[in-house]
Amino acid sequence: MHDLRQDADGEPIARWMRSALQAPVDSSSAQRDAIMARVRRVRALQRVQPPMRASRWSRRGLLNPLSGMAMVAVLVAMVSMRSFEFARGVRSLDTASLVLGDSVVPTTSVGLSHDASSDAISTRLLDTLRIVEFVLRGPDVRSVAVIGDFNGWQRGTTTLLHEGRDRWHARVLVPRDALRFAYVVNETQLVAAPPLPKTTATRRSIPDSI
Amino acid sequence: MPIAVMSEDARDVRRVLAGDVEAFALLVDRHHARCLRVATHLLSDGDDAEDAVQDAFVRAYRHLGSYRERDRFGAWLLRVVVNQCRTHAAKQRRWSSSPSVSANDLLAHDSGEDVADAESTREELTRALAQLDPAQREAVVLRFADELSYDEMATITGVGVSALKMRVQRACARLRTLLSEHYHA
Repeated sequence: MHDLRQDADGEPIARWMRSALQAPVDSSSAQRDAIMARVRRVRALQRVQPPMRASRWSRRGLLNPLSGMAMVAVLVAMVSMRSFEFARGVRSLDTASLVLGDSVVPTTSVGLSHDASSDAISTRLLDTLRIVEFVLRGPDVRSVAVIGDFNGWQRGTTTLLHEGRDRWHARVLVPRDALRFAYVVNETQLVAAPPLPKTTATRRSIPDSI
Repeated sequence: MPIAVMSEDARDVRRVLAGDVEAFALLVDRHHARCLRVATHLLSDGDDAEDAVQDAFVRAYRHLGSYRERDRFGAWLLRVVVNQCRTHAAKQRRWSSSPSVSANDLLAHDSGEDVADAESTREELTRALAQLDPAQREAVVLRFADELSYDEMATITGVGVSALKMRVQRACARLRTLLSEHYHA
C-alpha cells in the first residue's frame, strides 16, 4: 500500500502520485509522422498568416496609384448607380393632392341654435378642416402612406388604398393650417410633395391623367 | 523551459510562417511527448489522446499566424491541446466513465525490479483520475504532470489562480479518498 500523505514539499499530493503523473509516455515516430502527413495536406490557403503590412502590399504591386484610382473609380460607379436607381424610382412616381372642399358641418346636425351670432361662431369653429384627396401612381409600389403636419409626421397613421392599375388614394380630413406633407412609398422611400394651397379652391398639382 | 529551447521554438515558428512546412516537424518532435502525456491523463484513453494531440498539432499549424513570439510556444501549444481534449471529451462523453484501456498500455514501462509495482501504481492512479470532476482533473494534471505554475495554468485554462488552487486541493483530497478506498477494499 502506498503512502497517501502529502508531499514533503508541502504540495497536497503524495510523491509517488507526482512521479506516476510525470512518467514519460511512448511518443512514437509513427505518431509524429502521422501528424506531419496531415499537416502537409493542409492547403496553403488555410494557413492563417499574419496581417500583411502596407509595405508588403506595396512590394507586391497591389498598392500603387493606379490600383488606388481604380478602386476609387469602382466606388464612385457603385454610388452613382445606386443614386441613379433611386432617382429613377422617384421619377416614375406621380403624385397629386386634391383639396376637395371644406368640411362644413350644418349647425343643425350638432344641435346648435339658429341665432345669427352663434351661427357665425359655430361655422367658423367647425370649418377648420378640409377634405384632401392624396393620390399616388407608379409601378412597383407595395404600400403608400402620407405623413405631414396633419398627423405629426407619424408613419403608418394615414395609409393610401390600392385602387388597381398602380393607383393609390386616400381622402383625409386635414386641418386648414396643415400644409406640408410627403409620401412614404414601400415604407422606406420618401417622396416629397408641394405643400397644400392655403385657399380652399380645389387644386391639382399633377396632370389629369392621375 | 530553457531559454535555448524557447529560442529554438521561435526560430522554427518563423521558418514555418515563412513557408518551410518541414520545420514544423521539429516542433512536433520537441513537444509531442509532453502533449501526449497531458492528453493521456486528461482523456484516460490512449487512442483518444493520440487523436486529440494530432488534431491539436494540425490546429496549431493552421493558426500559427495568431501565435505571438512574446508567448511561450509550449504554453500556447498546451492551451490548444487542452482545448482539443475538452472537445474530444465532450464528444466521447468519457469524462465520467472509467478508462477503457489500462494505464499500463498508455504509459511507458519502467525497467528494473519494481516494474509490476509501478504498473499497478499507474493503473490505480489512472482509475482514480478518471473518477475526478473534469475541471479538477485538468487542474491536477497540469499542476503535477506538467509542473506548471498557477499563473501558467491560469493562462492556459482561462481560470483564476485562486480557483485553480482550490481545484487542486480538492482533487488531491478526492484522489486520496479514492485510493484509500481502493486499498481498503
